[in-house]
Amino acid sequence: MVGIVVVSHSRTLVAGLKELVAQMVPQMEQIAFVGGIDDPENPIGTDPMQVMDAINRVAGRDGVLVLMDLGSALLSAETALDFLDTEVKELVRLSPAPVIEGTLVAAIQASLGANLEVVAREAENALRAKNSQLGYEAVSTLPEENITPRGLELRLVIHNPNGLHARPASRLVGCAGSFQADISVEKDGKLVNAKSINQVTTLGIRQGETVIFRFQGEDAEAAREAVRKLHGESFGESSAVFVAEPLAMPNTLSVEMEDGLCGIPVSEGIVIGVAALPDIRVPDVELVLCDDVDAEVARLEKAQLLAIEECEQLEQKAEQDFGSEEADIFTFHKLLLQDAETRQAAKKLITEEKYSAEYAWKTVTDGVAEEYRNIDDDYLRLRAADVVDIQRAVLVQLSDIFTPSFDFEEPVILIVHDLSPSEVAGLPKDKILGLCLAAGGPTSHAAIIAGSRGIPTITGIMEALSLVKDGQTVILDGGSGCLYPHPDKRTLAEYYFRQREQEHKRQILREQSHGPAITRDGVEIQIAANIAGTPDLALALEYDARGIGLFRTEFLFLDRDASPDEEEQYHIYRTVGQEMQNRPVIIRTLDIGGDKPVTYLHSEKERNPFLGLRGIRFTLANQELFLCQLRAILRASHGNGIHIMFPMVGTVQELKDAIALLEIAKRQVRGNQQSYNNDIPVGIMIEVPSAVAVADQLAPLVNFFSIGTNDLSQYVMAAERGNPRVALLPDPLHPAVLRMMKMAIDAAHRCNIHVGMCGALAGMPKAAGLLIGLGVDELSMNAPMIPGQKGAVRDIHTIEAQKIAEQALAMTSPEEVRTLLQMDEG
Amino acid sequence: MGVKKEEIVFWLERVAEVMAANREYLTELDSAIGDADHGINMHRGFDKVKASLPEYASGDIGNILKTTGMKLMSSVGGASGPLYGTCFMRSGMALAGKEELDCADLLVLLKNCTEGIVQRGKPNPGDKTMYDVWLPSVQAYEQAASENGNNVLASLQAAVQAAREGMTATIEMLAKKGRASYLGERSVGHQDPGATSSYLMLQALLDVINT
Repeated sequence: MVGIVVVSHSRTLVAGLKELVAQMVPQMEQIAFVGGIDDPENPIGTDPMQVMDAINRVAGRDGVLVLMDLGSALLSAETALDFLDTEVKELVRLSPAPVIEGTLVAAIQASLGANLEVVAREAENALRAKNSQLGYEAVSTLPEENITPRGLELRLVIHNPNGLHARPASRLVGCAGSFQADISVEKDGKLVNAKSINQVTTLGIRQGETVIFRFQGEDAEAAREAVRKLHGESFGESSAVFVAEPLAMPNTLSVEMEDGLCGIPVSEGIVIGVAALPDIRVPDVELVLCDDVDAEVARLEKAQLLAIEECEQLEQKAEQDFGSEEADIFTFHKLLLQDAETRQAAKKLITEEKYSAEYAWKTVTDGVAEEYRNIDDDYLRLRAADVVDIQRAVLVQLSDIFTPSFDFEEPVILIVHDLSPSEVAGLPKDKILGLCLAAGGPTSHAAIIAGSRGIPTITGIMEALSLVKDGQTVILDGGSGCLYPHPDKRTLAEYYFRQREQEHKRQILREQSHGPAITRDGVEIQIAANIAGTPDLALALEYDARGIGLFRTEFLFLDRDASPDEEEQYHIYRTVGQEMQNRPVIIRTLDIGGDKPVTYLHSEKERNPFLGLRGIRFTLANQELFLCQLRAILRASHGNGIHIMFPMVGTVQELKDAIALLEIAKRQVRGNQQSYNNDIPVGIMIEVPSAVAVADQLAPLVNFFSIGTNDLSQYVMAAERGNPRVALLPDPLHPAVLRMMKMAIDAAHRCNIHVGMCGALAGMPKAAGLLIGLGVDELSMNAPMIPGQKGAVRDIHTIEAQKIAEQALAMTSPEEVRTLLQMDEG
Repeated sequence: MGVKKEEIVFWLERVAEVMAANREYLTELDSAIGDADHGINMHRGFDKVKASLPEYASGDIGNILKTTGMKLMSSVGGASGPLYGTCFMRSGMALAGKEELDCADLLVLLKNCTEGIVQRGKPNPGDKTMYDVWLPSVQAYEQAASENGNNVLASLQAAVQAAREGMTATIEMLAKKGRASYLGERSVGHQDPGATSSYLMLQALLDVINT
């Protein structure tokens, strides 16, 4: 196969071109792209040595065609030739073709197996189609091939929606090229060679138009049959929908492909694989008889009560996150759980048959599910799945043996009712291609963790549990939120294609995320990752995070019965510190309370937990727990970049108390003859308005600030995200919140300390300019956001950013700010 | 009197300093008629040379020049990378094994630089390129050397004088090569940045030999 090397001054340009080519040509190994030079400050340029390497990389016995943009690209390519071995050099041709059109055409011809001569000629003629389209045909100086109409005829009407555009045309050319016969194609009296991609596309054949093929030569008959067959297969176009709208939105797609289910997208990525539904494998419940009937009834009632409570929480959450329609599912579950008849029946089985609570509940709900399955109504039949859900919900409460195991032999797409955050954190990533949390919401902790682990994830598809069978091949598209339980060949082909495109994109992202994020005028913005535990490190490292801007340690404390001890914490912190080598790792001390209750620690119910004992307030009130964590962090800090950060600090006294405890922890560690970093940097979260007000008093006491945009906006606006009636108020883009951020940043910079930001806002590429303009030094986000945000930062000039910030600060509503940041475009 | 190896090394270091000092100036010239990166590119290229010189300064002059050419190739980034890279590599190959350059050797150096530019850029005189500095410069050197009995210093003074005149002459020229040629008439009235960096390089050589 002929190799192709594309040389441009710009890395971005070749990245874009690569995307274009990838749409047309599946095999890209023979194409090398050389863009820009190795200088982050001034990346525009070309390097002859890189060109030489690229040529050597793709060179084979079929030769190499080199396409160049302009100026030094030509000189660099010519220079590269001087350095090549003679036998390679002889097979290299520098093409005068326009780089974009030429590369596309050359890539197609090369992938069809054309020789260097043909690839080069076709590339040079690459402007033909454009010329013809724009009516410049007359000025084209390209030599016309002398073709006369002769041989066997084949008259065809083209049905492809977009006519014979590039992709089907390349199929035709590939087919024609495999025969010895001369093959011509004619439209409206214009005759071209069917073996030339340029010539075929020049005809501009549209849907409904008639073309005449002619075949002359020994294998003319076979060639005619092959073209006829190809026409019958619509020239290889798998899906009319896709062709009409290459970037069709998922909802249109699911309509056309019929068998797609749409849920809520949580974490991007297309996966195709075998479904595993450990959840709906109805747990085996042994028939056990009980002695103490009353106790057994009480057990069941307690379990039902807990299941109802859980259901109410899900209902509330769903209502906030997606509105009442989604919440209806849980309302229905609650009704099922509260159903007096069902409950009575189960109770009766315990009292009369002495069944265990588990067996009684299982028996009764199995019966209910069966009734639903037999109803002659599609909607109601689907509700059988809901019965299975509530069956499980109660069984799980009764005994933890019903908690599913996720130890799969082969990688699977896991479809489950819902998982706890710790279950998601514990999923073996090499065995989980994708995740569907049928009942989950996009902002549940489980979903957040799945996202930060980079697992393609969707939520909110209850039907998945009833429509997908274990072991079936399904498609899960985390970007659109769609799940295809029974994909047909067309859909599969379509998604294989998209998957490949996405992998390609991800490869580009990986390349893009490599290295620091430096603005156009040379200011480095630290791009760091937010993590909740060691599983998140892989993606943070893959995307070259410059550090960990926020390690949420509370996740180590959730979903368990007791706090992790000092050793356990030490090992986890140590791992993170070591893995990140000397990059900064900001470990935030326990931030529980608010929406993150930990039952074994936080037993008292508070009227208003967001305004209660949370963050540093809680740890100052629970000194032993706090000291234990501080010791673990200190011990882990030896010889790496670990920092320590206190959450929810609102007063100077709180900070002083926390620092005093840190000193005590240091003494204890020293007393135990353990090593630690005595100069461990200390910082605070800025998320309480009082901290902003006294930022100038706090700054001298610490080494850094980190702004938590989510909580800061709630507290500044005095409105809780969870309350749908005021949910729109706590918007981090509200100028009131932005002004608070600005005050904190200015106070920090007056004391020469570093300011990071770790809320959701920090990961939004469209907000990058504003945040840099406000003066943040570091943006910390979930790892999947890193490549996009690095790219955004590199496009920014700080002077422009400052202007954006000035404008935003002077606005009166978050809507205006969104318009300024062009965020309303979706 | 010849040019010693130490002086060649010193020259290259000096060029790095000169390019650093003239970074803004060259970029400004380039921003008028090109892509505003010549100063940045030259500075980057020679900075790289300067940084790696200690690794290869112990070789002979031919080797030093050749390695310098390689370094420039892969670090300059713009068209001047292949151009100056070829200059130095050709000169290096022509002067292989030399520990000191006499008057004739220096002519070989200048000639190879000039031919390297022709080979790479295919310029004609008056195209408003660095060739408009190198061609008169090498001609002046050759003539002066034949008249003054191969006096290195005097010949090089003549060469630099011609280089300066060549550089100034580019102001009135209409660009025929490179990105400046896209500007057509608008390129007239601006001094060519490549011609300027070439002059600076030759001036630096004279300065080193003169001290």
